[in-house]
Amino acid sequence: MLYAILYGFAGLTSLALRYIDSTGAMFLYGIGTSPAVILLIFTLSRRYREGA
Amino acid sequence: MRLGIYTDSQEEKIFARRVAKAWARSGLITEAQLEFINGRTVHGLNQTNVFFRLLFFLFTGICVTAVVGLYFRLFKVRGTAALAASALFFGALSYALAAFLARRKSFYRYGIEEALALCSVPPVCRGILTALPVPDHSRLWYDTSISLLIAAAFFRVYLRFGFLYAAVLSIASASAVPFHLSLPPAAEKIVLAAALAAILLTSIRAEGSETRDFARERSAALQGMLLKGLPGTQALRPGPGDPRGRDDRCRRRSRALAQEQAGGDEKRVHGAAS
Repeated sequence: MLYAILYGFAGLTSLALRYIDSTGAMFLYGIGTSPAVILLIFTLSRRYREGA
Repeated sequence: MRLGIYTDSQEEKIFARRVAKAWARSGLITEAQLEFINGRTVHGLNQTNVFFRLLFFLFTGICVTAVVGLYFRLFKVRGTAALAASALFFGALSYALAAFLARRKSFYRYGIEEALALCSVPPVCRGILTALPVPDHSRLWYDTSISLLIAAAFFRVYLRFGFLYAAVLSIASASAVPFHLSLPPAAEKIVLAAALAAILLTSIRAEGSETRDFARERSAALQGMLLKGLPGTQALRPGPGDPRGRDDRCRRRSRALAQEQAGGDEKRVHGAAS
């Protein structure tokens, strides 16, 4: 699952680099995706530790 | 006043757990004994493994950079006062968030609070230097003060959070000062070696009165790095962009060319003689 998230992020970033043509939009993309990835990994790691 | 964000008891327990884990791995204690030690050293802090720590560090770093970048892009901050205020604001915010996560959420080497604490250093230093009135805008003054400021800020992060790499970054930043002072290359090396030796001696003296194991371990690691770095200072050479190194390189190149030429002449003389 973790690798799926990381590969998903890498794929999204490559798509973003292909279609986003302004620096501001790139920053927005960074602000949007980074906390989302952190939250996902954080939630998954907690769930995994709790054995749920 | 206590500088560290974690209590000595928490740090001692984490240290004890780490040592017990190493003992168990070496077969000195059994799994049951390890469990017993772990049961007696509950510290209440959230930790994660190295892989997650790196991931969290990376993504937090991306997020902080993106927030700061977007702010400067959207609001087109140009004036000195606005630049200084914005940089100081972001630095303080990042540091406060790191402290909040470490204190309230009990994050310990989690990557997130580490990235936030480290990301607070450049904006704070930039903000202070922009806000300070510079008398003559000299390059020497700017370079020296930014190195010292960064060193002080990283040292503060080390004292507060205990990140060993923050202490290393602080020493590395302070080590750049002799190279900004327009000294001869030999003097630069001597000053740098003297400064590192002074830090090493201070650390050794301070360790004498230290009773906390985790602090002794940290200072031992620092001392090891300093001991490793001390001989390295004498091997430093001016970089390719450094004009002081150009004369030496030119001299070496012309000497090599002269030797090549002399060798060629000798061969020609030998050829003619045979």
